[in-house]
Amino acid sequence: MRLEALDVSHCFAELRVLDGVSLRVEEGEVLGIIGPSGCGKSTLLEILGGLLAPSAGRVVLAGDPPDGCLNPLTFVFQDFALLPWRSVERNVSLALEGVGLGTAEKDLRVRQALDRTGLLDFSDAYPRQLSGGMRQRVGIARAMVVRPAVLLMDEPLSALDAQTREVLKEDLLELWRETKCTTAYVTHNLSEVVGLADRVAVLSRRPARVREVIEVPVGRDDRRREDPVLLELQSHLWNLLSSEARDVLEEPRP
Amino acid sequence: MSEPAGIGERTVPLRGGGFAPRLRPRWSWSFGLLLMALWQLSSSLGWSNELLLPSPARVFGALLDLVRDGELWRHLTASLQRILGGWLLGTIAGLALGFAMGVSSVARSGGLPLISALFPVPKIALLPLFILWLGIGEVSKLTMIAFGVFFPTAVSSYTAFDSVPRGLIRMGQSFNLSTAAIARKILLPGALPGILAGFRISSSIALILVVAAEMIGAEYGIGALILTAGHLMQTDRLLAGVLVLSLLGLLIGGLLSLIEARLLRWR
Repeated sequence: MRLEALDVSHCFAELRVLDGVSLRVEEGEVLGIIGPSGCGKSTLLEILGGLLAPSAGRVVLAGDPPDGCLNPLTFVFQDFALLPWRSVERNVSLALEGVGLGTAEKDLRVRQALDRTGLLDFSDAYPRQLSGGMRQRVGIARAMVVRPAVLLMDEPLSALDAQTREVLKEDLLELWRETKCTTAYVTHNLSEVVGLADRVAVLSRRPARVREVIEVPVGRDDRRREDPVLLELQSHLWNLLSSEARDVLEEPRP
Repeated sequence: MSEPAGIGERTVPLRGGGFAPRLRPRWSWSFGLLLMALWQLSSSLGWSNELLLPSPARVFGALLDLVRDGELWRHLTASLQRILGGWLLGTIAGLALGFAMGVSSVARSGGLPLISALFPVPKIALLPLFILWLGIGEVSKLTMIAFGVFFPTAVSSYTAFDSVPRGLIRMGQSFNLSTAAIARKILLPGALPGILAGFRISSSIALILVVAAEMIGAEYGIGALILTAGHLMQTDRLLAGVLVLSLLGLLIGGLLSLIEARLLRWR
């Protein structure tokens, strides 16, 4: 399915966060969303996913949902948002509670999701027993178990160390190869977005607008870290952000 | 072999030692027994007045007598019934208000100032009023204990519900959980550690208040036992009553630890 923000603006009390943002996540693509810190990337994602009502504008979901879709929009959170009192398996099955699915079908889906994310041996573990990378795999399994139409990822790798991040990047590429899941991917990490996204939307500082949307010119599965084309794109993105990032740094906090 | 120290070279002095106290059960037991022995010795040698400070042996003797003639049981059940009844009433009401203040702006706006104003009042000060309203029987005692338990429970459970991470609630919403399901599956288990910690405080308050209430007007109860023994200069019986209270407090604490270990295994 296609997810579209139409002229979305948002204010928190007096603070104007989003200023007429329009962008579209096309069916099957991974849209990277980057911007200077505090510009409202996460707010935009919450609005896209229906967790927050925009002050103005609207969000539209169009097209046919994928087979077996039980929840069109699911999130992967930066801090994982796992329930510490539930085992891995029961954290994943939370996504299927209250959707009216038979127990057998539920179990099958949970097992499949755990299997794909390499968590089958950890079904009964509690989150505190897992490393950060494994916890985020649980977060991804939970989001995918409902076969969402659009996956909304809010800095999913930012809480992880650099090595784990590389491993999970591979996991994500594999996931998208298999499921072709439409994804909006918010991050502040430029090499991450250049490595993972099909297109990159660059937001300005607060109040955020879309400054530019850039296509990544290399196919997602053919990307090498040291590819000069990608490095050049990365430095182009940094040029777009750097002056604004400097201004943000020196701005007083709201 | 290590190299001989060069000119101007020296070993880095250690500055990081100490400040690592540990609890050693064997030392604790020895210390307790030593204290008891000294106390017994001072009685046996006539250093202390048996009438004012009876020896440990006499206190244990009085306790045995109380157990043997069944009197302890009568006092203990009376106290336990009051503790349990008052604590349950206060806890149920406190949890209800704490939950409401955790999730609703109306309840928080109305409840928080009220609780802040009434929390610091020593609840024993209200017993005369409760006696006027409800008579001198069980109801006024239960009400006072319930009152004393209610406020700390409301405050601690409100804090517990309020400190469940917003992100978890967001997560529940993003998976289309209903409000009731979010309350049951996210808020309640998330607040449980704080609620159980509050039980420790509220149970010790119930213990304090039951003794106070029984000293003001009761035939049976550990408080009544202690007061009567005091009037009759039976200090051995009096201290036996105090000993029972200490054991009761320890028992309740142990029970709560057991419940915590059971319910909070995930920590």
